[in-house]
Amino acid sequence: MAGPTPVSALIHAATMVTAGVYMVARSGVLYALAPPTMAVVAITGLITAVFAASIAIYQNDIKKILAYSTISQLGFMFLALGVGAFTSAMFHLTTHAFFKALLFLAAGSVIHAMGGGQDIRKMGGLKKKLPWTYYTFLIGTVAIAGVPPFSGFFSKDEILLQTFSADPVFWIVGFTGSLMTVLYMFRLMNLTFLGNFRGTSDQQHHLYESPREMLIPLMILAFLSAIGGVLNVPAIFGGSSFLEHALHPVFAGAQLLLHTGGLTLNTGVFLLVVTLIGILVMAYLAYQLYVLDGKGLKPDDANRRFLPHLLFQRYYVDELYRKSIINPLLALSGFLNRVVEFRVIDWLVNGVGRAMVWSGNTLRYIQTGHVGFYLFMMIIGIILLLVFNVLIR
Amino acid sequence: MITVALIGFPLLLTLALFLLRGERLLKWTALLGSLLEFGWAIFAWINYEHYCKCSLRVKIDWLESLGISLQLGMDGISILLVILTAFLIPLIILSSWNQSYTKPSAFYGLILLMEMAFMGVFTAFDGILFYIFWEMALIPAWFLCAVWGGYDRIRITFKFFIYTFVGSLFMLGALIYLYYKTPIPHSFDFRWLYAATLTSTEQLWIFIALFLAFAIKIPIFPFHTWQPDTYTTAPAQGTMLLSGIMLKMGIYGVIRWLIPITPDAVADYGPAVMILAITGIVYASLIAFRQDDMKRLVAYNSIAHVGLIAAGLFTLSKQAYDGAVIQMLSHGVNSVGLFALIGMIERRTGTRSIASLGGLARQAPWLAIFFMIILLGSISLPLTNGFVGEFLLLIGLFNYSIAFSAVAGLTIIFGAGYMLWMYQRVMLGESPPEGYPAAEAARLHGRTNRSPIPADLTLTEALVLIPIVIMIFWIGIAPGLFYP
Repeated sequence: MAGPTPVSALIHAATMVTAGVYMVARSGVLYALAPPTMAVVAITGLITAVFAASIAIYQNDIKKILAYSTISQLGFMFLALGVGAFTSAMFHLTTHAFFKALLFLAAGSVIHAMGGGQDIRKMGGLKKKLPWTYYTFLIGTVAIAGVPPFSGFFSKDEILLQTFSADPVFWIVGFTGSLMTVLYMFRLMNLTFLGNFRGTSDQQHHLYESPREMLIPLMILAFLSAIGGVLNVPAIFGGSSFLEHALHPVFAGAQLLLHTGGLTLNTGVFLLVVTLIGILVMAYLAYQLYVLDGKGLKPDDANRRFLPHLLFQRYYVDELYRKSIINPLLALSGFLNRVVEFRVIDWLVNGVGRAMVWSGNTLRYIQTGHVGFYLFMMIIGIILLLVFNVLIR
Repeated sequence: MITVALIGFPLLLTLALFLLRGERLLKWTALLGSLLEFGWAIFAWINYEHYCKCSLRVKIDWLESLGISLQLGMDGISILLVILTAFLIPLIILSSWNQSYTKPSAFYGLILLMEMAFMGVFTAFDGILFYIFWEMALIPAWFLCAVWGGYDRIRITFKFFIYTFVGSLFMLGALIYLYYKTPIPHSFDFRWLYAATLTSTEQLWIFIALFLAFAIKIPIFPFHTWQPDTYTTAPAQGTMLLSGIMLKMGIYGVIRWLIPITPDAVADYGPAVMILAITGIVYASLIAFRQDDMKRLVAYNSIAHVGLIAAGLFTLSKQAYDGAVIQMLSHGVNSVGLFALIGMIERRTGTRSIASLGGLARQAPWLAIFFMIILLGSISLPLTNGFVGEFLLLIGLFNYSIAFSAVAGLTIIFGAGYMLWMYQRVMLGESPPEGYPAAEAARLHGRTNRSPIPADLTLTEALVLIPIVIMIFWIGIAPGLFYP
């Protein structure tokens, strides 16, 4: 997140963060052979999806929101892996690569126009000044929100359907997560591009659309985000499930072990309708809250109620790590360094030396210089030798 | 004769250096001499016969009635360590190029004398000869630290000397005992010593005696307390010699003596040694987190690395054995590189304290790049030399015990933690507002022509670091040549 925008786009979209999804999908057979691990993966994915999405709602840094969005989407991918929908996970990974790269690069265009500013509370109304950025960003937003017929709709819907067939409770949680996705993405878009500009007048005078070199990649990615769904349009929409067939040889072994049951057409359609209504409601809610009511602009130090405060502080996860891992580690390190190293080990080592000096100091008193005493000691020595000699026999 | 020349030439150079005067001349003589020695070592490598364990063998009768002879030779490990030594010594000499030490003839003479002793240790095929070279290496090390060292040097070097010397005496005792157990006529020849017949109790005592000698030298926890102090107080070149090469003597000893001579005791008590070594890995890594002196931090890092080598060796597996040898080379290269870099930073800023450094990368970008590459080698990033060795060692440990390898694997995580954290605090961020002591001193002495901020690498410094970086990638990408 802290890297330059193109680096963020690369890391979040295609490379690092998705490596884990690829890895689990590749080792699908292993997971399928040990069903409890599948449950662990699915639940971890669910928690991640909701956890990160809820944080994203209360963040104000444009890139931070996108970063938490990535974590949330990764949660969906892991959910898919956990319920045995390996193809859906890889499908979502692919479409996510399109729209997340688009969103990061568009965010880069915004930051460029803002002269480095990343706080969406200081933006607003950029639609007029940055039309190309706006429209591409919009495509990215509706794609990630799962609006049909954009790419995210196909991939995310498939994950949710498969989740429902695995466990309806999982579906409810996952559905909640996807609603949060709509909310934070539309909040981000509304605060950035709609309403009035809230930055300094100096910034306002320098608001220009980015140059062509920056816009062309946005357009390509917007195109892909829009039509990426064709990769795997399911049969009910008249598609060919291209990805499904292409990946079949890879996942056949795992699928055989899992016996995933299909959904009836009616259930599928019903879930689809519920999802679409949810998206519409959340998008409207976001418009009402953030454009008409002007909410979501609280300064950092404002009083928040308990839950918003917790979300704004990102569940204190960083604090938790600091308190539970970093501080104890450093304390242990200091303890070993100060006490064990010097007071125990080195003390013992030096103790050998001290014992030598002490014994030398003590024994030198035997060297009295009196020949009589030496003779006496010698006699004792001889007696001891004889006694030992007898004892040993 | 090649082997005799390898040992004799540094000795001749040492004598020559004591006769020469003039710092420049001394430096050039030492450098060119050590480069010649390196060329000679390469020549030995070319002539080395891979299929014969007795390659480049020399035997000159010495004290025949006692079975002691001047017997030299090389096998796979010997030749690699000889190459490592000959490779590192010119770099160590070159790293002192911009510094001027008092009594330069003694300084460079002692370095070359140490090289001679190292060559002897790694090629001796006779027990007593090995012991003589082993102790001979200690004397120049002691003088280097005691004469040119830093704070509290006399106490620390005295402790270093006595500690390692006591360990060596155990080894001498074990050797003499072994001598009387060899087939008649008794001999200190390696093969005779290997052939000694020992009961299991005898093996145990021999094992303990030899282990003490090598554990102190390596050093294995808890026999390590001399090491951080000595590394910290020694002059940069002394630290490089100690960590780059001398430390390998202990590991070499384990391979050459401990495992062949007391195989049953190693099999029985190896796990205990491994537990010690692995404890040491975690212990040293944890301590490294809170070190402020960069040299001390790298010293503890060194303990962690050699702990892994020692733990791997006692698994007696092929992978771990190969890994140990490669990691010996890698650690030698990396630690010399790190200590050289620390020396360069200290020369620019006048301090090694992490807390008072910062933001060096902006002023010395090339220094920062080299530092990063060597640091990545040290924390075992794939495609660097550290990875090859540690990966093989961990595989060996894994086959032996999954728990051991899991705990020992922490060294890589912790290592990445404290090393990168050090890099962040030293090279990145902002420079301290009050400036550096060295820059301040330069200003006070009126040397206004010198820039007040630390400058980037000089040519000679780059010449020290470039071969090291080449080796990091070479061993990392194509380690085949360095398999024993």
